[in-house]
Amino acid sequence: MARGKFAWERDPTFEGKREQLRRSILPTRTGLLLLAISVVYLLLVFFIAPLIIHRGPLDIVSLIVLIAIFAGVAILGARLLGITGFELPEPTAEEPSKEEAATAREERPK
Amino acid sequence: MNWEPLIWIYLIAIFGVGIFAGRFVKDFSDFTFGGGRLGKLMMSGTVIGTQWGGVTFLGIAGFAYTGFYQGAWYALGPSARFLLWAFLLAVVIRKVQPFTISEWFALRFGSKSGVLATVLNSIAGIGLLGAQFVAFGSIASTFMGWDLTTGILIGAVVVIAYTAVGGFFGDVAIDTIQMFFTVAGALTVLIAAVVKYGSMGTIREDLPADYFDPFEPFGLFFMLTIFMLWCADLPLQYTLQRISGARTVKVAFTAAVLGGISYLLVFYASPAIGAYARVALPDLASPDQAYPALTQAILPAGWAAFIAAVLLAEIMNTADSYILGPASLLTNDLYRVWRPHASSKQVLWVSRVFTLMFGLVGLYSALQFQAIIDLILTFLVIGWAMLPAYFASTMWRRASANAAFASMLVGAAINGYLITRPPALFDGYEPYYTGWVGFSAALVILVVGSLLSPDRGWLPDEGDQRALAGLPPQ
Repeated sequence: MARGKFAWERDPTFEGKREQLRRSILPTRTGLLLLAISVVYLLLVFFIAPLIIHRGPLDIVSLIVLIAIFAGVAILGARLLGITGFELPEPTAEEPSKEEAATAREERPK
Repeated sequence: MNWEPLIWIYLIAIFGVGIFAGRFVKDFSDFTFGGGRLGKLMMSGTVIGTQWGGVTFLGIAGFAYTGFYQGAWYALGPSARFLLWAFLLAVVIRKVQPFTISEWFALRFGSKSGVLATVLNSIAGIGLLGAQFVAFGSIASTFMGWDLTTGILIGAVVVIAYTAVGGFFGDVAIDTIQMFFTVAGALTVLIAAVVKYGSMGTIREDLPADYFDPFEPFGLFFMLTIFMLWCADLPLQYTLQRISGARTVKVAFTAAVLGGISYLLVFYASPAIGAYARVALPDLASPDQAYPALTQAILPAGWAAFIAAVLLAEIMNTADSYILGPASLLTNDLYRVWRPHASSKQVLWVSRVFTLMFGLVGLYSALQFQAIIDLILTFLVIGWAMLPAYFASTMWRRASANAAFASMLVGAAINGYLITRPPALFDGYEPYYTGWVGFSAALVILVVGSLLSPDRGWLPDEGDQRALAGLPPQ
């Protein structure tokens, strides 16, 4: 049983979480690149938006253009993070698939 | 016909949903982040619904009432801020799934930083909460003729009561329902304004030229400052709650991206509402009244009452998130230290008591300031100083525990001091611009301190490198 003054220190999963964090921290270069992409997006929109927003009958087009820029940046970031297509990596050999997990649950004695 | 009862019926219905959702709260984990079971719809609903509060609809329209691009830049900041949420926070934090923001800082930088995060969260959250009470009072005073103080008081009582009952499940359920009604309300007002006064291209001719100047008052500097202030609530508990509450990493990431897109819709609608209010009602006593006053002026009474009810409920469910976050922290980090063997039910009840206490502090600040934007930005400069350490926690292995602690402590202290006593250098600027000073100090302390004495324990070993390369562990 973990000991400590604070709730998190007494949580038996605390060390496991710390190990998970150790493995999950982004490479600094990727993090800085993602940070830069977000700031470039902000600057891009700052200069583009006044040229296109609320300029008469094409209002909706300007909104679509802004959403398209945002979506492009989000997809680029997702690829850098390794979640292309917004999918998680395939299960590894150690992890059961969803079907295997469901079968195991059914076979478990009630 | 008097439509005021419609407003009350709507608010009571929302209250009922909160109480119903409270039946699913079995323990402290459910109360704080729903046990980490939220799917894409509910997660996106709560991310967007929480963010769309008094600032988004009243504050942005109010800013745009003064100058169109003040509102526009205020609305664009969050779209970039949601990118940072998705890119730098959602993936890493969801994989770890911490309970509270203090646990997160404790995991990465030790318990000392965890406790500091609790204290800074509680201070920064006061302004966010108080501003929602002021927004509630502004709408109530416009539609029901109450004075502002009465509106603030009633708003606080309603919000505190149903947050204490419903917890996170109530919050999420109402966020999701409200998201749809809020969009419909804003678009209704915008379309009615276009029909009555013509397109934005037409009303440009009725407003002074400098009203549409994107470089007024401070152009890019203003936009970047507002962007940083939007980022300043990322280290708050309610953001982490929503990341940890996601069922999967994919849900956490997607919800943040949808949050960013939602603010492009706000960018399109809210400043325009402020501009139409400027044309229709050029002599408003307070810019915060731009949206409700325009609604009342151009829509039939029944429609206007419905939109008022939607706005009030939107503010209620944003405010409840701002109460719930600090209440969860105080329970987890103070009560559980004092009573380590308390049962789950006891902890749940104590968290409800903290909900009440923090709500009363927010109410006090609302009665003191009585202005939405001033109240929020004054307290958010504290969160701004936490940003270097927070982002470093997910992307810089060399960041050391001592440097992170000193960075947050010194940065927040500087910002807390300067916001109350802005130096002559900032004459002519709003006080929140001083937040750059504490942020810069926090960044320098973190980088220099970490480079001088990095924590070697976080540097990658072979297992980390395999994980980063997407390979299974050996």
